Amino acid sequence: MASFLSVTASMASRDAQFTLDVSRGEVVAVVGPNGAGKSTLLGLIAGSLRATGGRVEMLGAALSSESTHVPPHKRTVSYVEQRPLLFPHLNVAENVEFGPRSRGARRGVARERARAELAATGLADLAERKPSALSGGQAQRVSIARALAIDPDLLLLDEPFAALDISVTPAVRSLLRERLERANQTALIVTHDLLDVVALADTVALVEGGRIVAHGPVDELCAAPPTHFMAEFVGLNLMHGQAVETDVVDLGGGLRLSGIGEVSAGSPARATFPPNAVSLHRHEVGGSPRNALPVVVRDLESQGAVVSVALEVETGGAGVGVGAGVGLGSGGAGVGAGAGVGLGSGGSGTAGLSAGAQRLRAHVTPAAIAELNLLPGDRVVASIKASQVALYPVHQKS
Amino acid sequence: MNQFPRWAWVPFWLGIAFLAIPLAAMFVRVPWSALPELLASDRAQDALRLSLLTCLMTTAIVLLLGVPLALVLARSRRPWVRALRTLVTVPMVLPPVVAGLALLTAFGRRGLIGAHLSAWGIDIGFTTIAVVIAQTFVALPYLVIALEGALRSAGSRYERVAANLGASPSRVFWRVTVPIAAPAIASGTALAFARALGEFGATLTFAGSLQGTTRTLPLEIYLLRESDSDLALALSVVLIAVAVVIVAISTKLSSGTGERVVAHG
Repeated sequence: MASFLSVTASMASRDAQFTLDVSRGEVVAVVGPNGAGKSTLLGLIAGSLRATGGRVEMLGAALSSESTHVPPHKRTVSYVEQRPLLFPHLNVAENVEFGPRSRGARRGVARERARAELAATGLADLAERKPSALSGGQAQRVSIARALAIDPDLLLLDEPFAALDISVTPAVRSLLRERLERANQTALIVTHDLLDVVALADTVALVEGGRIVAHGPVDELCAAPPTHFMAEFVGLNLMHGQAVETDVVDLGGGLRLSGIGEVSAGSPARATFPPNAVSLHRHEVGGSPRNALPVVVRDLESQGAVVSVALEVETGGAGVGVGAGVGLGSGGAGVGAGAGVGLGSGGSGTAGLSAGAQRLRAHVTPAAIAELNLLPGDRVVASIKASQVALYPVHQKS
Repeated sequence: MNQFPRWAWVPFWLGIAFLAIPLAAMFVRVPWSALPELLASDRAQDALRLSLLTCLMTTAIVLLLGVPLALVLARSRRPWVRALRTLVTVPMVLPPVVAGLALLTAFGRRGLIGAHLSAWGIDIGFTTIAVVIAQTFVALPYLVIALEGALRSAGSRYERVAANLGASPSRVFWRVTVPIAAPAIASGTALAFARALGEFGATLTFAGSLQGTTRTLPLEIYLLRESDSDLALALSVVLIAVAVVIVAISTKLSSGTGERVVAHG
C-alpha cells in the first residue's frame, strides 16, 4: 500500500535518520526524550529544515529529495507551535484568513472560510478581538483554527498544549480531537503527555537518538513499551531478559521473573509491570510472591499520596544483552554481591536496549518508607506480584 | 532611599545646565516679533524649501534601501553579511567632512564613477542631487541600525508561521515583517530625517553652497551667523522645533515597540 506520507530522510548535522510511513487519516503521536529529534522530524516534514539525504514524500510527490526542496510555503502542511504566535497586528478573523488569502483565495472566500472555522472552534464571538486581548487557551484555539483553515493535507503540532494553563488544556485537547476527527485529518503531534496520546492518536512514533525506534498502534506500544523511555512514559516498569519458560524470564545473574504471557523459551523477552505492583522488604520474604529481586535504592521522590522509589537491580553479572549472551552470570545470584552493579563481566550488551543495570520504580506509601527507614544506597528486596507482570516477546528488528 | 550617592546631584545639574544654557541663550536673543517677517525672506524661503525637498527625497531613498537592507542584515546567516554590518555603521562615526570628500572622490567630476557619468554628460557634484546623496550617505545607517536591532530582537517566528500558512517570502515581507516592525521603521525614519536635516559637513564638501540649489538650512545658518544673525537665529528656531518634535515621536514609538516585544515575548 502506498503510504500517504513517507519519510526516509537524514540530517547529518543533527545525527538524525528517520524512517516513517503514515497513512491517510492517521494521527501519530511523536514521543521521545528531550533532544531525541522530534522537532527535527517535524522541521524536515514542514520544510523549515532541509534533509541532507533521503526523501520526504507526500501523496506520491517528493517534498524533499537530493534534487528538490519544496519551500515551506508551497507545502500543504500546517504547523501549530507550542506558542500560539498569532500575528499581533491582525485581529482574530484576519489571522485565520491569512492562510487562505496567502494561498490565493479571494477576500470574500477567505473571510467565509475563516468565519466557518471560527464557528467550528467556538470562537465566533472573538472574531474582532486583537490577539493581545485573548487568554492563552483562546489564542491556541485560534492558532489551531488558523492552521486548519488552509485545509492542510498534513497537520503538524509541536507540543500544542505545553504552554497552556493546565486548567484549559482539556478543553483545547477535546476541540482538537473533534476537529481532527471531523476532517479525517492526517496529523503528527509531538507530546510529552500520555493523555494526548490516548485521547488523540492512532499510533505512536517513538523517537530516540535521532531514530524512529518504534511506530505502531497506541495500544500495542503502551501495553508493551519497547524502550525504557516509553515504559516510563506510560508509567510502567520495563525489564529485559531471556525467556526460560513460557511464563518465566531470566533477567541475568540467575534472577527470574514470573508473569503472565506467552514467550518462547530461549528467545529475548520483555516484562512490564506497574510501580504499585512492587513492594519493598528488608529481607527476603517467604511464600506467596515468587518474584524477589535484590535492589539498591537510588532515589526517593514524593508524588502526592505515594513515594516513588527508584531502584536498581543487583545482578551479579551483566547488563542483560537482548538477543545475545544467553544465561549470563551463572555465579552467585547477587544479593549483596559487590557494589559495582551494572556493566559486569561477559555482558555482550547488544541491541542498545539494556546498557547498564536494569532499573525499576516502586510506588509505596510514606508509612512503608518510614517503617523500612529507607534511604538512598540501601539494599532491599523488591517483590513483584506475578499476576501483574506482563511478558512479551521482543520483535527483532532486521 | 536613593539609588545613587548624593554628590551625583552636582554633576547632574552641571550637565543639565551645560546642555540647557546655550539653548536658553539663543531663545533670549531670538527676535520673536520679527520672526514671521524674517522667515518670509527670499533667502529663508529658499533654504527652507530646499531642506524640506531634499530631506523628503532622502527619507524616501532611506526607506526604500534601508528596510530591505536591515532585514537582510538581521536575518542572513552568511558570514560576509555580518562583516558588512560593520561597514554600515561607518558613516555614523565618520567625520562629515571626510564623508563629503569620499563622495567627491566617488561621484565628483573626476571621481571614480563621476568621471564616467561626466562623459555621459551627467554631473552630480554641486547639484541638488548631490545634497540628497550626501544626506542619504550619512542618514541611511540611522534607520538600518535601529531597524536591524528591532528585527533581530523580535526574531523570525512570525515569518516562520506565515510561511507555514502558505505565504510567499514577498507576502511575508509586506504582510508580516513590515507591519510588525512598523514602530521601529517609523522611529528609525524619524532619526534618519533628523540627521539629514542637520547635515552640514558632507553637503558643503560635496555639494557646495549655492542658494536655492545646494544651500540647505544648516549651510545658510552658518553663512548668515555674522552678516545677519537675526535671520540665522530665526532659522535655528525652525531646526530646534523640528528636532524636538522628532525626538518626541521617536521616543514614543520606540517605547511602543518595547511594550509589544514584551507582551509577546
